[in-house]
Amino acid sequence: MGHVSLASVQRMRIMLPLVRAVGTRVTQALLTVLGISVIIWGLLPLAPGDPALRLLQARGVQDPTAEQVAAVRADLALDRPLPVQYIEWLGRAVRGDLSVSYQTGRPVLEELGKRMPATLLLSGTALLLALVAALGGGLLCAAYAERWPDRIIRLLTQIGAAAPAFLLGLLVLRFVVVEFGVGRVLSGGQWQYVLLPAMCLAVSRAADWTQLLRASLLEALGAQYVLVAQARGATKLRLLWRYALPNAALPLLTAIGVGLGGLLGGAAIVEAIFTWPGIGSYVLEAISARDYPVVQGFVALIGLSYVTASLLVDLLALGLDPRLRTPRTA
Amino acid sequence: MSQPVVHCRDLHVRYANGAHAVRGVDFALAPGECLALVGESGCGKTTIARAILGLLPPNAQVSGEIVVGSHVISAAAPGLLRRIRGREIGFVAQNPFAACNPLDRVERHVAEAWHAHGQTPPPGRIGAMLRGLGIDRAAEQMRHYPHQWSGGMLQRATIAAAAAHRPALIIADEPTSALDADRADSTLAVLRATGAAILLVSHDIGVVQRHADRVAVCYAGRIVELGSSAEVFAHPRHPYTRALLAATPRTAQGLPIPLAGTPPRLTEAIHGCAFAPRCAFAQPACQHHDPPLHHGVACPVLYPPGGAPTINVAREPETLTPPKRAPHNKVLTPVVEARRVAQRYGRGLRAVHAVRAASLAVRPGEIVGIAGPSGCGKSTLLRLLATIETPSSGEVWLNGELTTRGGSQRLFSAMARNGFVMPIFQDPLGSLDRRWPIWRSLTEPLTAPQRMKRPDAHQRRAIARERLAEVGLAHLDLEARPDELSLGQCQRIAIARALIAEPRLLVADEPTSALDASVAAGILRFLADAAYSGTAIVIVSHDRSLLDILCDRVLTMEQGILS
Amino acid sequence: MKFSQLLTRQASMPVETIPPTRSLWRQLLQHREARVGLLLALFLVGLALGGPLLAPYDPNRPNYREKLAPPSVEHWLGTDQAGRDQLSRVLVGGRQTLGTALLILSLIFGIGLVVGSIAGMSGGIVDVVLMRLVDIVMALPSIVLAIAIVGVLGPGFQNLILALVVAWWAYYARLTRSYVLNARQRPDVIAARLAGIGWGRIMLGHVLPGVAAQLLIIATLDLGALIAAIAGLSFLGLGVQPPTAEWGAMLSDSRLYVAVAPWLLLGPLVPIFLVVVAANLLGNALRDILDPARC
Repeated sequence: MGHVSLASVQRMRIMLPLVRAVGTRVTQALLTVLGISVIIWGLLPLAPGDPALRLLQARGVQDPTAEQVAAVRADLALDRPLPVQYIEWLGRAVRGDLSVSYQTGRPVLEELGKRMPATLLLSGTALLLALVAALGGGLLCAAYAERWPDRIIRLLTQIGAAAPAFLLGLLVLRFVVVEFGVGRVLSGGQWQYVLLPAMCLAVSRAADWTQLLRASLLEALGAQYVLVAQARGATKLRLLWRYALPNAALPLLTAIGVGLGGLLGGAAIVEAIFTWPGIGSYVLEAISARDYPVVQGFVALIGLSYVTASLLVDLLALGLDPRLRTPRTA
Repeated sequence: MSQPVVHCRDLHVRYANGAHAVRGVDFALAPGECLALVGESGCGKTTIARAILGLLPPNAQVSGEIVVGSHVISAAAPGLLRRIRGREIGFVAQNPFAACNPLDRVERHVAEAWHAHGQTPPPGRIGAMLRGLGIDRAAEQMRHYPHQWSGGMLQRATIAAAAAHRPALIIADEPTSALDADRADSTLAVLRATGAAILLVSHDIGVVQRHADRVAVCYAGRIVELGSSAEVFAHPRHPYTRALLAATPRTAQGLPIPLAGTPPRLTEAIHGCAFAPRCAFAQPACQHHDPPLHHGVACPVLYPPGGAPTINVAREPETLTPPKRAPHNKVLTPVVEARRVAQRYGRGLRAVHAVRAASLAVRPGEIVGIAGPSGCGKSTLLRLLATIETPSSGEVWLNGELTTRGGSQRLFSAMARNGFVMPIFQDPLGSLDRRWPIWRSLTEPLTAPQRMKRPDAHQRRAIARERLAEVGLAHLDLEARPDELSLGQCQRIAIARALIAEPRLLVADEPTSALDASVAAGILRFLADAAYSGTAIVIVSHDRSLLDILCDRVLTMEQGILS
Repeated sequence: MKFSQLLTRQASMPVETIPPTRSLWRQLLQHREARVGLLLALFLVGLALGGPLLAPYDPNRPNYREKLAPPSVEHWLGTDQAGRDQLSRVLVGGRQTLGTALLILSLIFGIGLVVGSIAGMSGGIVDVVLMRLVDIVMALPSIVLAIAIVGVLGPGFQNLILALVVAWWAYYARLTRSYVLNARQRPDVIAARLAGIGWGRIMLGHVLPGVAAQLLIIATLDLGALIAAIAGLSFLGLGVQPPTAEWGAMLSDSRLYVAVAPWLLLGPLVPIFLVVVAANLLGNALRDILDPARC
């Protein structure tokens, strides 16, 4: 038995709860993904039409014979009980095989993959814009609480929170793009034109997050530790920046995790308005064409992104808040 | 005295809502002296402390003169105030966990004393300070976060931060309220060892008695008595001081005597002495005169301005007839009996043994007290006795019948669910449903299905009216919601609700901790009277003197073990 | 002096109470934001209810001679590409949109309340299973799930309702469950249990009013988002089908002609915006009043 140093035992004592905390969250995320997979798979049995027929047509067979259809049905295990179908589907999905698009016959993942970067660009820019606006707005409001900057920003957030992304998109498209010629109506997904759609997407998130940050900052500023820091001689700026903001960032982080879902979802509609070539507008085409595997793939991709993003946010919170990762040892 | 460390002259503080929180306060503190401001909630003591630091809300108006050392605080520019804070005046807050930024290590919290002024702490100084305050393995501990420290240790760390620049004055705002009794003394000792003059704000008479040099008793924004701690406690002169000491278990002779009435509303002008409406010695002159401190007492009848005492200082105020105590009959079946009950939460290595093999029997009319530090399992034991929880092992018998049993033959009988045992909780507001009018909360036990005659709404209101009168709330609006009432009123309603079920057992978990002494004394009276009527009472409290006065027996609990 | 005399003396002293405003309505009226929200809400609900009666023209009747006419005295909001009067369509569409939103909200409210209560009260395996279900549904953004469901089942009014209810109920269930779990440990509930009151009456009297208030706040704030979702889905062609007048569908129609007929855009857009603003104002006001003052 080797010599186990005291230091390494102590390191283990500190690491163990952290490892446990991370492990729990990752396990939960994996279970959730499994649960989502049931919903995603479930979309296909719900859909009208015969998947085998559609599949053959997608591969270019115009008038499939009964034997061909029967063969494909056996292939896809469509005559077996539902749970078995699910397992088979899951097995294929885990290996990346999400079936093929009924329209083009190409693998769904490949089609979505081509258009994913555009959506990521749009959502990512929107996230960035919303964060910057929320941080700036929230800090200003807290620093000048109840004075005119606070009032103006609060009024703006009231309006902004009530402006759904797609309304803004329509307005902006009509009055800014068409009237003033800023940007292009039929953008090709290039980054030069991402600003306008991203702003429309970001506005309602920014408004929510600004309000939340403002409230969290004011609450933190009213806490005992801020009073004590003030009694030690800290300046107002220091109190806001070093004490209030880190503590207010934690609830904001949680809200961002939740709001990401709205960003990903709202992106689909904004893409439709601005004809932004992302997976959102693609899935809308697919829906009109009754291309169900694409719909499944879309939900799968968005679902996975959302769960991953939430997990990252959770782990970030774990890193920032020592109370979550170390138990009370006193 | 030599140059005082801090000097207040005719200090007035008015808040934005019109409340005149401090109405002319004068005092001075000598170097190294400890002056305690005592009083009940709303008396202005915290406001005075904050005013000296300049930490009142921005729209509070301060008039009068405050001088700290050579600086005139009351007329100081914000920049000067900021430089003085932390360097010449230290501050210790009530709750050490709330006082530390939970995201910062303890080391950082202490270092703030330097960082706030743009300086860095001398290397090794923080570790040395913490070691000096009795924190062992300081170098390792200070890298931990506040939630990993115990309350007592963390409060010492905040004292280290407060005393970092060796200020001449330290203001301690209820430094021991959030700590256990044994920690309180060591905390104050540490505070005094810093050598600074201490302005101690506290409502804990015991701590003040043991550690303060001088005492200032505050009422309705004024200091009504000021003198050496020994003198004030041995020979209190002002009627309010005497009433306060008579209401505090530690200093009362026998069961504490409650004080009727409430302090005046500070939003309205007060004519004459603020205490007159409640004063046993009141004379007509008290309505017009409100003199400043004269011989250390501000009372128009004891020491009228420019005259000799008009009434005999030594005269005792009227006393209260002590409650009747029933003789105990050892033959009666115990109302509740716990046989080696234990409670364990969680499993395996991480299990928490809240209660270990406790045995206890309580007979009708008996009052049993359980004392112990926080976290020792008192509340869990109470829940086991009330059969709110089933023990993990052991048995609980109610009225001679087995009610709950833990272990392999788990048993839970709903026998207790008929008002046999009723609870009293620490938080008076939380005890009542916030949306319900008080008549509804009060008479709720009467609507239990097992009861023969269940009154309708009209009858319930009438019954509520009667019961409220029994607890001194005869003219209270029946439709009032708990948020509209004071804590003392809510607790009295909670007791009335508990008693309306005619329980054989009352379990009270810190029933007076949230209340002022003058109000708490009344609660204790109700409990004593209920015991006389035959109800057994088990009461948990951190205040040992309260338990000694009220209870027939006091048991101590430590880490789950009852003795 | 006897204790009873002290009590009488106590009772005769003036009691310090804060003058209450107990009625919820009055509190709403005193709240500045709530007043504006209530006014807006009243106006909009009035329009929605009276829609068909107030509409000057038949909203579905085409009149190709007057197509794409700008706002005028005969047509306050102009006409669309089939010559249908916009004002009439907005008024009737309001009923459609608002009615659908309220219907969906009621269903969500009910399902969330029931599921959350069952989970909270049962504990054990039932709780675990239900909460796992909630977690899974919440792991997908509501709009995405709604689009997928409607996309697969096909557009139409019933599928729209089904999709949105399935996508939205989970949060309410989770809120209800945590409230119920918390309430089981509350002192007033414990006191009621010890007094012999049964769980059913405790739920009805102590727990449900509180949780309903919480859900009401969330529901009011969600109304705006839900209307946006309904309008959005209809805009994408996944909701109400033509020729039914509905604000989202009208927005979709307006896209093609937006360059030449901007009034087609503003007609339905302004009321959507106003409804969302009103819902937000009322929701914020309700939150200020109902929580944290009460629980």
